[in-house]
Amino acid sequence: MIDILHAALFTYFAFSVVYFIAINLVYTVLLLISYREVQYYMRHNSFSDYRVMVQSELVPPVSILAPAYNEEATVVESVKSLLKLSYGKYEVVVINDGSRDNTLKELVDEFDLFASKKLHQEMIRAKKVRGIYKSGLPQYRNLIVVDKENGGKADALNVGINVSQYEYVCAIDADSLLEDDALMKVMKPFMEDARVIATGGIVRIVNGCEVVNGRVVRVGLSRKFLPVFQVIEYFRAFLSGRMAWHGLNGLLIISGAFGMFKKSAAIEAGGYYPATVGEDMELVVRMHRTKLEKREEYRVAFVPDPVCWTEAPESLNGLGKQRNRWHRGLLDTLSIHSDMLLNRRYGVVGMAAMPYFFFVELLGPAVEFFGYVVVVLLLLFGQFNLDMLVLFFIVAVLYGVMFSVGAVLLEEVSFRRYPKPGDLLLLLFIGVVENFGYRQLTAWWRVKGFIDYYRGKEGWGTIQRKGFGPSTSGSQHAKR
Amino acid sequence: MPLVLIIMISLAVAATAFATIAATILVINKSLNVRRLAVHRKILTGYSMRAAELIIGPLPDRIAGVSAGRRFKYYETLASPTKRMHNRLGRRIRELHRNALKEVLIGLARDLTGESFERLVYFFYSFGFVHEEISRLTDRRWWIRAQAARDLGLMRARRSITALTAAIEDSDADVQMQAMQALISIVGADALGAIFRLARNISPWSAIELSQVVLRYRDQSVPYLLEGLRSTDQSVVLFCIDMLAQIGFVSAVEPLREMAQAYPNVTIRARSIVALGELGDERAEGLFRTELSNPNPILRIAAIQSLQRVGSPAAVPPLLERVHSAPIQERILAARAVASTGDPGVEELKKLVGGEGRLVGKIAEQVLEERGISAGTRIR
Amino acid sequence: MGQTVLVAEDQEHIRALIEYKLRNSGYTVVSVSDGISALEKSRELKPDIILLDVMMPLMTGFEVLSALKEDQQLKSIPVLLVTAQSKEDEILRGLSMGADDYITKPFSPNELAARVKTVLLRRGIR
Repeated sequence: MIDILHAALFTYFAFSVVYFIAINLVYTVLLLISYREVQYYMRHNSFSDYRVMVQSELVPPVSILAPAYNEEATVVESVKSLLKLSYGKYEVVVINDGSRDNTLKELVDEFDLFASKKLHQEMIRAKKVRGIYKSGLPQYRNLIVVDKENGGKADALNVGINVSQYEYVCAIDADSLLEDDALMKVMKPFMEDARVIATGGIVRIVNGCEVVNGRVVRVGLSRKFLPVFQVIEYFRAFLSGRMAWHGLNGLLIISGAFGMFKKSAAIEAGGYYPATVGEDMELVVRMHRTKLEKREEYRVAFVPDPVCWTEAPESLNGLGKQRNRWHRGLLDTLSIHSDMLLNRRYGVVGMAAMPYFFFVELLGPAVEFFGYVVVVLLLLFGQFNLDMLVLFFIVAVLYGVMFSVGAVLLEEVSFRRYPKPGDLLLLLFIGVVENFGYRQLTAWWRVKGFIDYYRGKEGWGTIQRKGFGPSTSGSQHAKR
Repeated sequence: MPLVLIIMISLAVAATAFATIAATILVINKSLNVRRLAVHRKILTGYSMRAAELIIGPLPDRIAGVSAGRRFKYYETLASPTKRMHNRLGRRIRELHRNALKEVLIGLARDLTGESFERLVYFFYSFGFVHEEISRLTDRRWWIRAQAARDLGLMRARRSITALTAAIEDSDADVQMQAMQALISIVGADALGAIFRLARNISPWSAIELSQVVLRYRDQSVPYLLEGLRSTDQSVVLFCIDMLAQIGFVSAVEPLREMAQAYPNVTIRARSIVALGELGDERAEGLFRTELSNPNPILRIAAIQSLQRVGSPAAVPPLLERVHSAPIQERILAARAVASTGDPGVEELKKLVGGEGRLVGKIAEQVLEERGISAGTRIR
Repeated sequence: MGQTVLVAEDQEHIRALIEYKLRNSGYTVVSVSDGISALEKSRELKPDIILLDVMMPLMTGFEVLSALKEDQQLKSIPVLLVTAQSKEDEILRGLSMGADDYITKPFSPNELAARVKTVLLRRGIR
């Protein structure tokens, strides 16, 4: 009996070694592709003068969709900074998702809103709109506020799509801090290639940076550890992950904090799916799916420019919740579209991107976590080669470090937003330290996401089968 | 078992090697970069000052009015101390200095006119910058070619016209674009003839960049734009239509009207209709009204847009018909066009509010509100 | 003369050139490279005239201009806008916000010096 258990445990250990080698090969390939893509982008981009472009009236107009749920403290400031972006013609659509506080009243008072008779067409089914408001002040003519019944972020964005008047919609989080020329930068791929249906940019962590008048004026690292850990993580995810998938046209995630969509393509795919916590990823996967099933040529592009800044959670509790939610979202998206996995019909998405997200992003933390459990068990049973174990752990750490270094390297050859060599050293140091504790912690949070997902499955499962029925609740907004 | 051990050890060695080497290079490179940047800044500041002297040091009175040859000789005396200084430097440092000088001078070229500008151009030739960039136009790397084209344009190097014209047909889109812009800044509107003949597949992004340049020449560019309408490349034709509409030149009306009626491509027809609307041509109104009932929605919408621009009361009845029977977006556009005809249109819309057909009434209400007219109901 | 000119311009080579030109014309020149320092220096020095580039980091020329005009002590200082856009509406906007004159890039240094002189003379008469 003990022997069998021991053999099983050992087999698992051997499996994780093989898994580990495979995963690192994949990472290496992605890093190399990213390097090529980033370099091309930097060179290509040096020939565009955004200062000139923002003055042109010929750039396609854009509707910014900003959902707000219980944001009374910050909503006015956020909206004001959105209204100050430099871009030809755009409107800001604020969607008040049935807030229980004074979000709407704050807006009405500040912008002198009146109830408008503006029509909107329900191109995507969504919760009821209670009213549409416009500003009576001439300088805010491009502001539209929609008041609707609570339905979650995805539902709010769908209403935004219905109400918006322009062909390009930019979905953002209410607390996203956009760079001045952010819209121009993510619009550029659409204007260079008519096949592009969605673009996303790099989201950076604002903690530790100096912000004046809603603009980031000095980039720096936070004094607290937790945000700095996340800076490195974001580097890896955005620069070496998403950039590579852009190169392969298999980009499956456009961050909910900032993404631009061709409205017709988003509607064609059915809009945001309200019954998932991962609505941002789910929409992009569905847009891929729709185009691939119709056999139309398309592209989902990634802009490696830092265009958007967001506040990272500074407490373990907040971060844990965020990661838990992200993992549930990933799991949900992959299970909704599980038939695409390893399906040749879906090309690169089916054969490479989905498998990557399934085997690496989704299962990776679980494999790692159970690896730790097995190791502990093996040690308890004794007669295990400790040297081997230590060696494996060292290798794992070294590879973790290697990819962090690679990501920092990418940032260094491209945007160099962190001016001080000291910052760079700190980032590298964090790249080593994160392997002892932080990495295990994030793995656990994600495994916990797994468990929570399957525990809550009954409730969600029924809603999924109903299609675009009423969504769960506004609790999806409780994100920070 | 030893095999696994060997694999792991070699993996460890590889990762360590990579991580340490990369990290070291990274940190060293970063601090070197910071230093290099500081040095570059210092050199740049030095040259900013030196350039100010070179460029706007007062011209001696005896030279001011006389022949260009005399002035050039004087400029050479200004440049020669710098040249002598450069010759004394080692090769790498000299490159740094020359690049800094070029950067400063090019920066100034963008923002200066008058006699100062003449001096700048002289220095570009005299320091050998023009020659250097022309040879870079045939480099194997596309970005080097694109940079060379851009710099030649900024230096207004007439000697590079042939090479730049060839670069319009470069395999890389960035090089093409930079070459076109450079040619325009060197030759002016006259470069457009060659550009419209040679250019292919201009993306909307490039078209906007190009339009910013073309708009500087307005009327001078019209003959070339008219010629460009005959290009076989659709993107060039669309570009020329848009530009003609923006510039607003009478002689554009006739060819545009022909294209609006008979061009085989719908996109181009629609764009011509919109352009005619922008030009505010009354004679085209009949055409707009006919297109209102075209089965192709692209052409209908173009016609509605144009009627909105022109805003003639005669178009109210056919537009109202659209308001009553069309896809909703088109109805709203048509209602806006009705409103833009002034009082008669507004009165018609007011009649619709609250009348038969809930949707029609609502559309009228929205459009009236957009124009700041309350349709009987209180707005605030 | 010895009047003080504050030059706010973010591009170094242009700043150096303007400084050089104005010094040669006998002014005391102080220069800054962004909008916020432009405002700080104006408060500190109370210059006789401010040369303001419209496109600047941190605060645009327009933002600085409106801040100047809201400040009781600074609002009488004449402002000369330097704009890269030859767009009419930008110029009109600047003038309506209280700028005394403008100059568009590309410009001739001689003309710039002449404009500064006339603005100062005009102010001197009043």
